[in-house]
Amino acid sequence: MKIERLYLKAYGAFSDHCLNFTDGPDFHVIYGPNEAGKSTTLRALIGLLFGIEDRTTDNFIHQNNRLRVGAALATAHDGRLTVMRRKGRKQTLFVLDETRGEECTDQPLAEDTLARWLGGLDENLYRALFGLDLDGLVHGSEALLEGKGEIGQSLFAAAAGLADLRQLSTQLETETAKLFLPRATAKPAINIALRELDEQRKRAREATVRSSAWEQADRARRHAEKKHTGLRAELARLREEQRRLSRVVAHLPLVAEREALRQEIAALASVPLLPADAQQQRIEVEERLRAAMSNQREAQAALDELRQQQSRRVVREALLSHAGDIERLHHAAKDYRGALERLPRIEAELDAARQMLIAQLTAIDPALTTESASIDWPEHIRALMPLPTVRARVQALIEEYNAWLIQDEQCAEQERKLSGALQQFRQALATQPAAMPFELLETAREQATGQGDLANQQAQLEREIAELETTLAREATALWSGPLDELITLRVPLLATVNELGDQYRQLAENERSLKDQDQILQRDLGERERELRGLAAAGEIVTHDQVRQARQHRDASWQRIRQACIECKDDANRRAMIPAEQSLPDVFESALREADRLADLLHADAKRATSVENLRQRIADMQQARVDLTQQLAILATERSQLDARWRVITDSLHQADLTPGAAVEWLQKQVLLVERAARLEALRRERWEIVSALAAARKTLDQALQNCGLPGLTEGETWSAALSRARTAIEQARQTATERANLIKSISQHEAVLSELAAKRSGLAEKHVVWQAQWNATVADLRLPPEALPAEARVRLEQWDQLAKLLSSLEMLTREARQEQAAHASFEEALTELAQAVAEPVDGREADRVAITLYEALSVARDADRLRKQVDADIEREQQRLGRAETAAAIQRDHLAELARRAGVESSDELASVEDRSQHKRRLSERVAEIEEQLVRGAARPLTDVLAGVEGEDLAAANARLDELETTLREYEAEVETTHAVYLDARRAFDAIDGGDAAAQAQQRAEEVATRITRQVSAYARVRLAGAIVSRVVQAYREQHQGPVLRRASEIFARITLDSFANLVMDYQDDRQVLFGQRPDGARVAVTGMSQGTRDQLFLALRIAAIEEHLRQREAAPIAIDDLLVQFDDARAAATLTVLAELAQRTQVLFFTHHSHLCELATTALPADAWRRHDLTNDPFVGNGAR
Amino acid sequence: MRFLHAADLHLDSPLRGLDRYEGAPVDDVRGATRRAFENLIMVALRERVDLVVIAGDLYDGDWIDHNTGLFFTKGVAQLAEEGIPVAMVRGNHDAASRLTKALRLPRNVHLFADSRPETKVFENIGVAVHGQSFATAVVSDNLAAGYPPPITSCFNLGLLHTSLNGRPGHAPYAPTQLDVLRSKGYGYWALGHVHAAEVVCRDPWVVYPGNTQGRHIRETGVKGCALVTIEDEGVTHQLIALDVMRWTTLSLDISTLHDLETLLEIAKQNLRRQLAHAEDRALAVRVAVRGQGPLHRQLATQPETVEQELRNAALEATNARTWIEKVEFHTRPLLDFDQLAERDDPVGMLIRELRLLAAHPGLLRDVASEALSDLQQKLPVELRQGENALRLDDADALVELLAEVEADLLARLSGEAGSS
Repeated sequence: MKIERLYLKAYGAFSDHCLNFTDGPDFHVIYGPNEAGKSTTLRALIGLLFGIEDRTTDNFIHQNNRLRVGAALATAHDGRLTVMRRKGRKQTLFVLDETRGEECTDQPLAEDTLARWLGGLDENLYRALFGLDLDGLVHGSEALLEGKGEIGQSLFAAAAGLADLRQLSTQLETETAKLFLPRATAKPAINIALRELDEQRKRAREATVRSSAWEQADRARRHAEKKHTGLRAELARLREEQRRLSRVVAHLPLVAEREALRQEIAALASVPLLPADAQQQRIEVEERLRAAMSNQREAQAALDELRQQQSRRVVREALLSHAGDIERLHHAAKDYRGALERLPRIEAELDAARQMLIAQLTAIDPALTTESASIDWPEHIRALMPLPTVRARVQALIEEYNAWLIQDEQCAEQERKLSGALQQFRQALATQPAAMPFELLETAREQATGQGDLANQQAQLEREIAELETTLAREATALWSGPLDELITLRVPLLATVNELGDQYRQLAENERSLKDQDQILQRDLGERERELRGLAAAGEIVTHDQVRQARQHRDASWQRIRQACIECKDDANRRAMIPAEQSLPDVFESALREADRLADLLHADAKRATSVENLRQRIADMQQARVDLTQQLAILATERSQLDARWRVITDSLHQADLTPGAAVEWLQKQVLLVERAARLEALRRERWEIVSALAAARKTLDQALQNCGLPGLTEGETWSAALSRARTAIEQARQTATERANLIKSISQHEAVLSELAAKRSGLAEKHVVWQAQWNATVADLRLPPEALPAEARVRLEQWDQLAKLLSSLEMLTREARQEQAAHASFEEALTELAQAVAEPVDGREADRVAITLYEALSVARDADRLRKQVDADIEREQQRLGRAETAAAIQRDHLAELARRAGVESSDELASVEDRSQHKRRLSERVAEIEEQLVRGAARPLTDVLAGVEGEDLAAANARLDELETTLREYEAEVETTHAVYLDARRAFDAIDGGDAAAQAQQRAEEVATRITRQVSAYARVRLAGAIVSRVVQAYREQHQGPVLRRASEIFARITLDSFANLVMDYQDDRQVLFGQRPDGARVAVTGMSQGTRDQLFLALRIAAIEEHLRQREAAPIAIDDLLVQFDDARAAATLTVLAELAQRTQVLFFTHHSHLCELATTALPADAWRRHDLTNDPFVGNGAR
Repeated sequence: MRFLHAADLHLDSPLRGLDRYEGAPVDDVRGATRRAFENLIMVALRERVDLVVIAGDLYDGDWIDHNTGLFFTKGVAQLAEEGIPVAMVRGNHDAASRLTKALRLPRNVHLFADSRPETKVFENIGVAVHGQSFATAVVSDNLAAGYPPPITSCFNLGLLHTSLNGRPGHAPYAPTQLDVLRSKGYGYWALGHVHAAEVVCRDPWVVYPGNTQGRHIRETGVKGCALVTIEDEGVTHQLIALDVMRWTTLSLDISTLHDLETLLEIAKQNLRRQLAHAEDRALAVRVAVRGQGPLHRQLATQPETVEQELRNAALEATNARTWIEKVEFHTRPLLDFDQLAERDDPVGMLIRELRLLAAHPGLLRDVASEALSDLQQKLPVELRQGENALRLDDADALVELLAEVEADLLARLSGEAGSS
């Protein structure tokens, strides 16, 4: 199988990349420096053949589902196949449509299609059999060393691409040794497991209980149990006897005591059996009787005492019946005493008030005092008091007077101020200077300033004119050698004309350059086409249609001659003459036929190249014709140029500038125009300056006259125009200010005079109002007992005096009322007391009323105390009477009780009770003791009394004791025996119980089964590995027998070539009973594998490997051999030799040699003929990018 | 009336083919047959059945540990406490067992005589059981033919240890035919001896309940007893699981798999499902990996590692409830062996050699004998002979082994060099 094309459609860094392996030799050196994709390409190839690796790293540009590698493949038998591989788990292989460069998804292929084409190999086998790389080489070489060149292994390993066959054998041996060794010193797994199995089996045996053993244990147990049970029963019987005797011994004394007591009780049969507490009851009754009688006595004594107290007690009943009056008067006594003390003080205050009233009246009018003394003066005085209406009128008149007074004072003040100001204004007007006429001067100044700042304008113009003159002079010298005016007035050609001529010159130059460029391109193309033509010619004979046609004509002509000569039997001397003498007609025809066919075949086979050649020739002829045309056009352009030169010369002459080019002329002309414009501007400026100077002179004259008119000094020669204007402005402003001040003064004077006259009118009105008021006032103040001329202030004081008088009067009246009330209260108290004293029969004896009241009150308190004590005694008497009654009743009850007790004891008197009680108690104690003994017996024997009494019937205490001692000995003997039989029984039972249905034996059996299973597994593994080892040995041996001869021969040749005849060949010999390989030097010396350098050993392995592959190719169709940077450790000479061997291998199968190293390419170039190999650069392969489409 | 029908208890018979490893459910294996029997007793008590019938083979014939018998009597004694009678016959194993003869059975157990067929009538429940025990380990007579006619007033139940007219993998003891059983006119035939549960016939009911606990990989699936209810309407039959460890197989196909992780994940899913299906009983699983695919090489070169990975996966997926009994590899590489065999290179020669050996058992035996004689001599008799022995001198076994060798060698040849 061969790979014709490898399409790296989308893989690694490649996109639409194609490697073309068709045509030429089959030794392909695929060179890619690092990063260029050499390794990627190799992986892509493997991916194509066997599927893209599941965890590929070549998906860094194209995602997994986009990865594509395609190929066109061809085999000798199956024809051609184009495929595309995708990445995936299912259905990854499709037919490739080469024209579209895409897979036909409707034409899937079986996954192993390519593997089948490769002879059923999978990836690993393919790599092993047809892959060569450095690692494999080094491993193989190491294996050779380890196996010391053992021939069978070496051959097999090299053929299988299996570097470490020896390692495989060792591995197999190690694995078996781990599992089993016949005589193990170490511990292989099976040996250990076998021992463990033995152990478990033994354990199972030990744990197993046979049925017979169980039955025996059962019998032993039952026997022991029976014996033990019998002994225990006898022991129990003896113990019972012992217990019975013990009881008898205990009961006998008690039974005897009981009998004696019963006899004594019988003797006391006549004594009544009183209750146990009879004596106690009697004593208690007697005690209670005594207590009752004592109470009776005490109550009687107390009663007597109380009655005596009651008879002694006296109470004043009258006081108690008037208790309310006495208490009320006792309370009023304090007020009475207070009134007695207050009355003299009120009288004194009354006199004082009366004196003050008289004094006040005197102050108002002395006449009033005398008027009032005789009559009821308080009423009189009250009638004299001014009425409230009079008081209001006085108040209103006082307010009116005050208002008039204020207004009058204000008018007088204003009048005084205005008169002063008027005086000042008049004085100021008298001192003010006279006005000056300034209107003319102002007009003159306004005219002058209206014309602008003339002086400044004049100076500005002077500066501009000077600058312009300087510039003009400088520029003119650059353009013109003659006077400036000539230049300005010069007649110049039009600028358009000059431009037009310039354009014509440029056009001409451009045309010439274009023609020359075309000529150059043509010349270069012509050279290339000719080179190409030569190249095509050199690549092989070029056959044109013409040649074929000619050859065919020649063939047909020859045929015609043969036809004519041989078939139509015509002979033509002329024609024969055309045939070379040494050739016969058929020869000529055949050679013509062959030539025609050859040419036709060539043309047909290489139609594309032939077409190219013809096309090239045609194009060369066309180009040469184009060059001739270009030369003619250039000549026409030269004529045009000379005509243009003549026209230009006319223009330069007119300007007196001989060497001017059209471009420069345009510039000259532009400058000249600028110069003319500037000269015109200078003239205009000069005119303007003259106009300003004359206007300035006229203005000065007008101002001078105006100043003099105003009486100011005129303009002097030295005074500047601006100073004069300034002076005129100052004078105008002063004159305007003086006029304004005068007008203001006159206006103020007239205003003040008018105000003064208004004031005078107002004051006269006020004086009239005052006369009316005075009349009203005089009438009013008479009511206040004041003279008519009294002032308002006097009226105010008099009103206050009247008020004071009214207050004094009120105070006097109040005091009079108070004195009367006190006197009335005093009289009523004394009257009430007198009545009371009579009612309670209390003597007054001339004592003060309040003293009597207090005495009565104290007597009342004494009477109340006496009354309370009397009531207390009454209550005590009642209580003592009740107590006496109760004591009498209680005594009677107790006496009844005593009588009852005596009756119960069967005696007449209660005095006999004590002795009966004593005898009854003795009888009771005896009965109790009997009951106690019986209870003891019943309880101790736990049987009815009769049984107990029957049990001891006829027993003797001494005999019973003797029997007990005897029993005790017997019991001890029996107990020991029972203990022994119990131990025996327990042992037997334990032995029996130990067989409890446990699963110890079953467990051991289970473990043994597990170990047996393990052994089975391990034995299987052992058998597999051992068998594998045996089979490998057989195959190695068989391979050696079948292939040793041819492979060794070929390997020998290759080895000699690769080592550059450092070794002559390979030979076999025995070493340590093994057949091993030796390298033989040309001088016959033998070098063992162990004696070779590593490089040589590598080369030996390579020689064996290539020989094995060739041997294989002898029988099977080839598969492409993929070699990955194999030679990097070889020196150049041996690498070159190896390349020739690989080139030979490539004659039998396709060899793809991948390398990173450019020097290997260079080596190939020198070592191999050009047609023995092809180079593919992954960086700049000529088929890159266009092969797939 | 309800009764339990069990057979083939094989108490204390070991579970075979389980090689102990770290994480295996060892506790579940311990006393598995005993615990299945305990389950039987528990079901009888729980369901308050009226009768328990056991159709033979309480123990392995060669098992002599009396403890096993005692364990049985303890179990049935519990039934006695609840007044549940037990009727049973001896099977071939019991007849061979010395243990059976020495054992004293509780009074609620009726063991049928071996000299002649017998009828035991349980009047209080209206059931007549007919049966006959095996007198010797090998009984080739048609015992059923001699069974008595039915008792008309009772429900008639035939108790018999038989292989009927032959069952694959079972010795042909007490052979008989379905027609013979039918002709007896009984309502139910409780059979024993065949370890796989089977309802042979429904009119009348002829039933094998199977054994109570699977003991090796050939005894897969649910194991237990039959719960039979007899009512006026007829007989209802229900299989009740008693086993504590269940044997199953798991087949994995590598055809579409690219990595071991996926394989393990599939195994985990299946194991989880099986565990759920077994109602959380421990599982003993034989894994068979089949198919042709890229994963083959890893399986072939590292079978032990893969087996360990599967064990770990089982441990993780089922929380240590699964015992991977064995992993069988039947996978094939993506290679065309016929094409390869034609090659004249080492690979072709190897394949031809393997085929040659497979085709010539004699030659294969010679090669194997030479390679394995040392080991053969060291193996104990039980591993060389008998049902579960390693037959290293048997041609069929060797051919099977050869397939493994082929996979191993091809993987090694292509694997090691190719990986450099």
